[in-house]
Amino acid sequence: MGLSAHKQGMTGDQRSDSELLARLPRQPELMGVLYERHARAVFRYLARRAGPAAAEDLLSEVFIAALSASSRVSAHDSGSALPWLYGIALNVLRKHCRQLRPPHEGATDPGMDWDAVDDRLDARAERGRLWAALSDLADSDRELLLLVAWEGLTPAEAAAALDISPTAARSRLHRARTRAMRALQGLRGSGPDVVTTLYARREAS
Amino acid sequence: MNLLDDLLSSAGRVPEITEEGMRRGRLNLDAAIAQASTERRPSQRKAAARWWGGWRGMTVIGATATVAAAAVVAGAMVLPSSPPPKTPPQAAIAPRATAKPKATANPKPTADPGAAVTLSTLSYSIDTTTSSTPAATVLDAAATAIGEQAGTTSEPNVDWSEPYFHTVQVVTCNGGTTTDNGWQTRTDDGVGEGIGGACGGGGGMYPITAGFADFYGLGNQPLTESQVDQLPTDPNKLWPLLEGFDGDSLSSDTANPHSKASTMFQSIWNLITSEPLSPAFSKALLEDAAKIPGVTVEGKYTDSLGRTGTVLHIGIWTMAIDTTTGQVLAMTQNAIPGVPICGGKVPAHSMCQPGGSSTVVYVSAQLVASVPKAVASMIAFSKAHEPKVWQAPPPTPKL
Repeated sequence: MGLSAHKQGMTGDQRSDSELLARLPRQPELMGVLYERHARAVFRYLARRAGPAAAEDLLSEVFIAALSASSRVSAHDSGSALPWLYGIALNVLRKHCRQLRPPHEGATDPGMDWDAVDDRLDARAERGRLWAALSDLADSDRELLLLVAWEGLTPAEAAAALDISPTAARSRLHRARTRAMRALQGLRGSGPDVVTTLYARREAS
Repeated sequence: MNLLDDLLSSAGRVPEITEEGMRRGRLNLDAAIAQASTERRPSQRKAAARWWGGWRGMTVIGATATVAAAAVVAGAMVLPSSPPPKTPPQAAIAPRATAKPKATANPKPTADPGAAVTLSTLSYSIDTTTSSTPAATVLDAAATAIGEQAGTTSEPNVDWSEPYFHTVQVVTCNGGTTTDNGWQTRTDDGVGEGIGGACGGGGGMYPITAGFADFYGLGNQPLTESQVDQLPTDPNKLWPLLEGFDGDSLSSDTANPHSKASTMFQSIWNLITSEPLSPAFSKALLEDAAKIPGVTVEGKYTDSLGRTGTVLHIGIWTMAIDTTTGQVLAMTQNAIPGVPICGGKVPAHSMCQPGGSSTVVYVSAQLVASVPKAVASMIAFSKAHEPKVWQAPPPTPKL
């Protein structure tokens, strides 16, 4: 699917996201149009980080939270409401993850339910590799990387979702990719045992 | 594609949302939108608002309540039930020949019209000073007051001058308080349907059809709009129907919360608070209420909307009524162990769960020209996706 297609979604209402967002504070019912347009993408966002079952439960929470946040929002320059919705979805996810695992465990990973991610990576080695690549990143750097890789946002859009400047986003994205690549390459040739060990370490934590 | 992108690409593959998931999410969102648009909309229709029957003279209040900030004194109406007199019900059926006390012609001012009262700070109190006035006198006074109100029709229902009957209630249930907005309309087949707050449901809404236990009920029997039209406005002809609908299995012991008397009281309150009734019919209902044995006077009710009333009690019901207007101001239902409240049909997300008690403060009720757009779209959406819950049940067999 082309990026622009998924960002625009499909809906009968021809008004742009920017127009809808501008009217939202006075016409909350327009959130229904945004839902029809973007719920599928927001669901994928949630499912990638918390699994499909939790994503179904959390989906409406995101749009309901967006309803009360709608008085102070405008669309990203690209015209899409998605970066804004992803930003809200991240907050909803963080709350969800805190409820799953109380923060005292130390190794919490707000905004990401690793068990749910693991569920869809069949090979044990692959799970270990993903974790190795991402676990060393700061939460916000990882989120930045994934918004670009998984949600197909531009670095500038991802910056809007995370409320950081586009310039900062670009340099942090570069840093995150370099770091993740290095972690992956470090595993190369080290054989499945190392990966399994890494994975076991995560399970222990 | 490099190592990292390959890995992320395979890890990012997730199933698409199911249609059921989309639909469920939309329903939840629509409920929140409906609540939001109600809260944002002040009393724009104040000038056009038509008050009906017992509701005349009340003020439309901009509903800006938030659940968290609500200050309704939960449970304040839960009163100890005093032992009621053991009068056999038959004794009360005899027509009453006593002269009714004349109610004051001018209803006392209620909330100042246009005053910016917010429901979030709605509170009420009860002064339990004992009164020597019998409950029957109180109810007869209320009946007289409501009967004096303007109204041309002698049918139970008003001629609906506007398509929607909009009610605003502040509901306290199990410690939580919310503002419920309800909209009902007559359908072409005379069944009637609507949408209302989910029994103190924290913003959730449910469809109302004639099959819903609390809808226009007589006892446990739901009634359609057409059936309400057929009810007699002569209190003596109405009484056997009120009595008969409760079935023969109900106890005639008025101390029993399941007693026939208590259930008749409930039927009357159900009709008065959920329907735009004509003054003539409201009067008949209150006159019959005055004949119900075992009702006691418990004190004086005052709320922050500036309204006062007399508190009556029977079985699990405690009700505040304004004797100068006939308005029912508030009602508390105490739970009976093992018997769920809200007619037993409690949505899962409702805070009104079995074992608690619920208090409803009736804020306003009026016929209006339209429902908020979000509510209309929610009804349309729900009808398209959940047709079953909108199906009217077969008519109540006996009338």
